[in-house]
Amino acid sequence: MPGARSKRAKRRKKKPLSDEELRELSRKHFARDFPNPKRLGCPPKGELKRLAENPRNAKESVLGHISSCSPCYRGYSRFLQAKKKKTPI
Amino acid sequence: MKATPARSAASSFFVSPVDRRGRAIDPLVLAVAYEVGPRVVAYADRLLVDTALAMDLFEVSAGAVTQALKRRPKDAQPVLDLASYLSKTYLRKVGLIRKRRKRLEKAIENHARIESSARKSLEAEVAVLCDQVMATYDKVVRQMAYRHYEGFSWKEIGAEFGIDPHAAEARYSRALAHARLLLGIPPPKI
Repeated sequence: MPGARSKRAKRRKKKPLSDEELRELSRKHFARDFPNPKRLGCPPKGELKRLAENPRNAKESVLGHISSCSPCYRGYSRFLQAKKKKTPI
Repeated sequence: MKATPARSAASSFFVSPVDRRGRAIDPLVLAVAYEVGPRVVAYADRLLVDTALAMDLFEVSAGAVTQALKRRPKDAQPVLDLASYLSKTYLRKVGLIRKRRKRLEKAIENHARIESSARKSLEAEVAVLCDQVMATYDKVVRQMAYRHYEGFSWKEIGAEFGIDPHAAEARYSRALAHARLLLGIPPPKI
C-alpha cells in the first residue's frame, strides 16, 4: 500500500546529528581511524606537548600530521587533557 | 518413607481453581489438571525456561477448557479424553508463546542491524566532515576544533587564543557549516 510505504520511509528518515554526537564521533575518528603502527613521519612527543600548551605558535607540519595519525592524536589529546586539568577556567 | 523425586514434584504441584483471567476452573477439569499437569508443565518449562509463565499458561488453558465445555451444546458428544484435550490446548498456547518470542527476537535482531548500519553511515559522514574541516581551514580553527572535540568549553578555547568565547564558537561554527554545505550534510538539531 502506498500509505504504508510512506510511513516506513518516514521512520527511516535520518536524524540530524547533535553537537554532542558530532564531538564524540569526531574524537573517535581521529583517535581510531588512522592507525600508524610504524609511526611513519611522527614528530617527537615534545612537539605534541608544545602544540597542546602553546597553540598560538603551532607548527603546520605537526598540526597536519595529527589529523592523519591516530597515535599522535591520542598523544596530543592526553597533553590537552593534562593542560585542561592544570589550568581549569 | 522417602518419596521419589517425581512424586514429590507432583505433590508440590498446585493449580489455582481460578485462572489469571478470573475464570473458575471446573472441578472435573481441575482433577484432570492435577493428573496431567506435572508432566506437561515440566515439558513446557523446559521449552519456555520460565516456570511461572508455564504454570500461568496451564491455568489459563484449564480455564479455557472449562469455558469450552460450558459452551458445548447439551446434545453434543461428550469429550472422551479430557486429559488429552487439556494437554493439547496447553501445548498449543505454549507453541504460540514460543512463536511470539521468536518473532520478537527476530524483530530485535533486525532493529539492531538497522541501527548498526545507520551508526556506521553516521560515523562515515562525520569522518568526511572532520577531514573536510581539517583540510580546508587555518591553524586556529583546526586547533579550536580539536579542543572542542576534547571537551574544552568555548571560554577555555577563547582564552587560549586570546579571543572572545563567542567569537571562537562563531568561527568554528562557520567553518563547520561551510563544510556541511560543501558535503550536503544537514545541520544539527537545536
